[in-house]
Order: sequence, then C-alpha cells, then structure tokens
Amino acid sequence: MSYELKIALRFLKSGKTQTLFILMGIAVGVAVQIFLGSLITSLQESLVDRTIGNSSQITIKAEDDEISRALTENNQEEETLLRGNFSVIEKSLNNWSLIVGQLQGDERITAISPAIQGTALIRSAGKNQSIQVKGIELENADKIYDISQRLTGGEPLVEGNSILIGSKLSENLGIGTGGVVSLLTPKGETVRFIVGGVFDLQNESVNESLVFMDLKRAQKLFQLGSGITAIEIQISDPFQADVVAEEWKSQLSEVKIDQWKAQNEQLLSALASQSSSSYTIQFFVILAVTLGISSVLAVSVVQKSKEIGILKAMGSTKTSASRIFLLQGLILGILGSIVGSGLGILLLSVYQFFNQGSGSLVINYTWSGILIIGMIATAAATFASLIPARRSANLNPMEAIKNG
Amino acid sequence: MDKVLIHGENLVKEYGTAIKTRALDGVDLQLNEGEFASIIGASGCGKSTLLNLLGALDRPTAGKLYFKDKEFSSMNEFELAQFRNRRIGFIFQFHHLLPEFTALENVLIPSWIESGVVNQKKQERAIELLETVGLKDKIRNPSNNLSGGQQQRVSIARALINDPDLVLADEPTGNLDSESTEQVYDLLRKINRDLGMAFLIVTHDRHIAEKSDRIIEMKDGKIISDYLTRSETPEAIWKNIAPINCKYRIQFGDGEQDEHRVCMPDTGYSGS
Ligand SMILES: Nc1ncnc2c1ncn2[C@@H]1O[C@H](COP(=O)(O)OP(=O)(O)O)[C@@H](O)[C@H]1O
Ligand SMILES: [Mg+2]
Repeated sequence: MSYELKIALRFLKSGKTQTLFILMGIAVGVAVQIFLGSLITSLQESLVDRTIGNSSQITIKAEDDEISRALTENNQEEETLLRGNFSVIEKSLNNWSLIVGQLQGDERITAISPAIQGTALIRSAGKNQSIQVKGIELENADKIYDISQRLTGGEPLVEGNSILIGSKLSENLGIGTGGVVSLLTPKGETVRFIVGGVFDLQNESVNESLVFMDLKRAQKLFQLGSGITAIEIQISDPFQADVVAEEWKSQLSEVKIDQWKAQNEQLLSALASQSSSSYTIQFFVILAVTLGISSVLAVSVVQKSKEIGILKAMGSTKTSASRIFLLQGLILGILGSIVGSGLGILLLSVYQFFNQGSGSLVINYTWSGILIIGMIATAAATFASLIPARRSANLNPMEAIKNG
Repeated sequence: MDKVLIHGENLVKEYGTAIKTRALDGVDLQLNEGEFASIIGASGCGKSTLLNLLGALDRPTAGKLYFKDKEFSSMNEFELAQFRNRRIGFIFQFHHLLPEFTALENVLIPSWIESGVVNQKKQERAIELLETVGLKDKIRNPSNNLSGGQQQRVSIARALINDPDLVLADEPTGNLDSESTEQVYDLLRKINRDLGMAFLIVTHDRHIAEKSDRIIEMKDGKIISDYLTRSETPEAIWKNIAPINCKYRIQFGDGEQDEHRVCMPDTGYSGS
C-alpha cells in the first residue's frame, strides 16, 4: 500500500463524522439517481411497449397513387374528413412474396406478417357497425398481435369463413363464438361469416372495431387476387425502426415504408423531454454532491495543514501531498457508490413492494446502469477533490511548522 | 581534521515583496560532521530562518549553500524533498506528530516516505529508537495520548529513523517543563555521542547552550560570535551567553563565598 493511501485512510477514519456525512451524501445521490433513472426508463419502456409492443413497427405498403399522395400530404384529420364514410381498401402490393423473401434474411426482424387491411360494415341482428378487417396468416400475425394467447372464447383458428372478433364488438353486437354475421364490402357484396373466437387485445378501440380473417379469404373478399396491402414487421430494437426503414427504402422499389417513430412523433418528443428533465435532475444531484465533497475536503485540508506541512518537511513531495486528498475523494466516491447502489436497489424493492398488483409498473434496473452511475459518482468525487488536492500540494511547510 | 557537512556562504534571506524584511544578512556558516552546536539569539534575529535554509525547507535570496560539495540551488524540488527525507532530521518546538497514527507509526513515517510504500522494514529500528528515548511501553499508543515530553521524544525518534547526517532542532524544549527539558537535552546529547550525527539546536535555554560543543550567537540576521566551548572557561561561556536575554549577576550565599549563577528572564525579550 502506498503511504499516501495509508494516510488518506487514516485521515478519513479520524474525521469519522465528516466522512460519514459525505458518504451519506454520495450514497443518497447515487440512490436517487438509480431510483429515478430506473423508474423513468421503466415507465418509458412500458409506455413504448404499450404503444408498439403489439402492433406493426415497420409497415411496407404499395406506393401511393396520385390521389392518395395528395391526400396524405395534407393532415390526418382532413384525410378522414375527405374519405369520410367511404369504405376503402388500400392499394394492392402484388410482389409481396418477393419482398418477404428478400427481407427474410435480415436478423433484426423478429416478426414478419403479410396482411390485408380493409374496411367493411358488419351486420348482425339488425345492428350495423363499421369495422376494420385484417386478413392474416395466424401463425405469423401471432408474433405481432399474440392473438392466440389473448382469446376470451373460441378457438385460435382463421380458416374459410371463420373469423375472430374483438371482445367489445362481440358485446356491442350481442354475438359470441359460433354466431353468424354478415360483412358488407366496399364493392357492395354481402358475405356471411362465422365467429370462431373472441379476442381481447387490451386496447379499447381495437376490441371494438377489429376483425381478423384468413389472408386468402380476405384476398377474395376484397378482390385482390394474390395481392396483399401491407407487410407488417417487428424488429428487435424498435428504436432502430427509422434507420432500418431508411435502409430498406433504398433496397426495395415501388413501395412505401411507414415506421412507428414517424407516426408517434408526439410520444417520442414527450419521452425525450422526460428523459432530458431526468438527466437535468441527475446532473444537479451530481453537482450538489460534488460541491459538498469539495467543500468538506477543503475544510479538511485546512484542518490538516499542520500535518501536511510536517509530511513535507520530512520529504513528502507536492505530488504525494495532493495524492492524499485525491485518494480521499476516490475512496469516498467508491464507498459512497457501493452504499448508494445498495440503497437504490432497496428503494426500488420497497417501491415495488408497495405497488404490487396487476397493471402496476414493474421497475427494472440493469447492473450496467448502476455501474455507470457509480462510475460517474466516483469520477465526480475524485474531481471534487482536485481543488483541495491542489491546495494541499501548494501548502507551505514553513507556515505549518512555525512555532506557535 | 573534521569533515565539513554543510556550508553556507554569504546567506541572505528576505521576506515580503513590497516591504522587505531582511531576516538573514550575509551569514557564513560551516558545520562539521558529528558536531553538536547551539544557536542562540534574541527572538526575531533569524535563527529559524537559518535553520529552514539549512534544512532545504526554503531557498536563500542570495548566497550559496553546499551539502558535502553539492550545491542546493542545483537541486530541483523533488531532489530537495529527497534530501530532507534522507539527510535531515527535523525536531520542532510543537513536536508535530500526526495524531491519527500511533507512536511507532509516527516514527516510521519518514521511512514510508523514503520507499513510497507502507512497510515494516524499519520496524525493529523504530522500536529500538523508541526504546532509546524511553518509550518502549508506549509504542502502540495513539500519539495524541502521550504527554508533551513523550511526544517530543517520539519526534526525536522520528527524526533519527532514516539515519540523517544532520538533526535540526528549532527550540525543541521550548514547550516543555524544566524536568522534561533536561531529559530531552541529555537524550539528544547521548544520541549525538552514540550515533554520531551532527546536531544544530536553536535554543533559548542557556543551560543547553552551555553544554554544546559549539555556540553560535546571532543578532539582527548576522552571526556575531561563534566559538567552541572547550576553548573557553565555564565562566567565560556563561558571561558570553548570559546577556542575550538574561540578567547576569552573581549571588553570594549567606556569609560564605558560594557563587551562584542566576538567570533571570529579561522581559524585554519575550522569546517565541
Ligand atoms: N514567513 C515570513 N514572512 C515575513 N517575515 C518573516 C517570515 N518568517 C520570519 N520573518 C521575519 O524574519 C525575521 C527572522 O525571523 P525568524 O527567523 O523566525 O527569527 P527567530 O527564529 O530568530 O525568532 C523576523 O523579523 C520575522 O518577523
Ligand atoms: Mg524561531
């Protein structure tokens, strides 16, 4: 052990109250950072997960025709206004199996599901309701929507004339599994279907207006031949959606690629400002801790000036004299971070304990996150000891040993 | 012929920038190996300043200083620190131990500074030295648990741990009662005889000066007299050193011709 370390440790030990005070300061700072950081990250993750966890993150569609382009260039509201009550089917994507084949090798893709989206009118027992029809291959769609796991009744099957309807829709129409409904297509055709199951995707508007049917059956219903209207995709890191979409745009021709980030700009900017306010708080916590350590150590240099002077008279160099205080900062930082990490984790488990129950937020923390916070705190503590260390280095030994 | 240990030529030291105080005003001094010398003189005459220059705690404003032919001004700050650590032992008036450490650890600190790390290489030597200063049973005591005289003896042991060539003591007994003063002085003298390192002691205590090999007297930043005690009679020595801050008079015992030398502090010189 270097003698500077030994002296640093003794100085810390001899000023027990001061040392405990700074340690608590650092520990509380670190704990707050861990708690706040984990809370906000978990909140955001859960929010993002709720938004895009069970929906298409990147959607490949056929290129817009002139009219659609003109419409979508205006804002969303206007579009619904213009399209109003007309039933629509989106433009058909005919070379879809080629595109799917081309993308299949991309390791970032976790789910890829060809789909047909259209609107129709559903009729049962004299009630009419406008709905969204989605033609799917259940096995692929499950990877996005997890339909099979979320059935409240019936069988996870879409075949022939068997369809799955949302729980709210089932309620509104007063019809359940095994019931018969009629769909009126935009082309004016009426077809009868059997309700094969009822799902609950935990989203009110989806449960109220979505109907899943077999992809092939939907192709026939909307007269698309072998075409589809969209390829729905999820990727491993949803926040890379824009990058991935850009990349694919240059590889695929005559398609339009939408991704969730562009469609959720408001959410993302809310998240970003939440993050930045969290960073601001964390910055000020670190700043307060740094100033605290710095001032306590500065007082300590004054208190120990006689001893530093005597050490210098006995041959300690300036470097050693400053190292004694840098080491104190480093030790305080490391100890404070360790105690603070424990405290932070404890705080999280206490919070979790009092906020149990379904639907409540689960807070996750990562060891790497805690390590980073600890390292920042340690670096700040060492940085805080720079000024006291400089003072110690420049202390004149003759002042200290002056008689009297 | 004695070997010269440290040698100063025309040493000048000025303090301050706007108003200059000339603390040393052309001092020539030569100290031999193993010599036991005292510096006396009124408060403020530059004794501590001279000691600080000799101990490389400070650099002279003018003049040259050699340690065994090596010139101080050629050494950088690191070399000077090393010089202080290996060649010089300091003893100060207010003992200045590190209160966070035990007596033994305090003695070992200069050896830690020398090697840069905490080790027990010189532990035996430190215990030996503590034994020499009569603190064998106090080695594990926290240093702030010791009396003033004990602390001063620890700092003597500390000054000796790295086997210095020169021990500089600035009023080492100024803070102690007369009994402890006597003990500490006898100890320094004994160490000088046994171990052979040179001592330069600033003192207000006439008795200590009287028993030194050599007395250097200063006034207003200059050396005004410098002589070996063995070349003078005790009476002459006493007469020489007494007027500095004692009123010298001979008191006669009742009826008999007993001569007592009495030293009375002169309030005109309040020593610090
Ligand atoms: N650091 C300093 N700054 C300014 N003046 C000083 C300083 N140290 C000593 N002096 C002045 O130098 C002179 C000699 O001081 P010093 O060597 O301490 O005397 P002594 O030890 O003989 O009492 C005094 O006049 C003192 O006021
Ligand atoms: Mg002095």
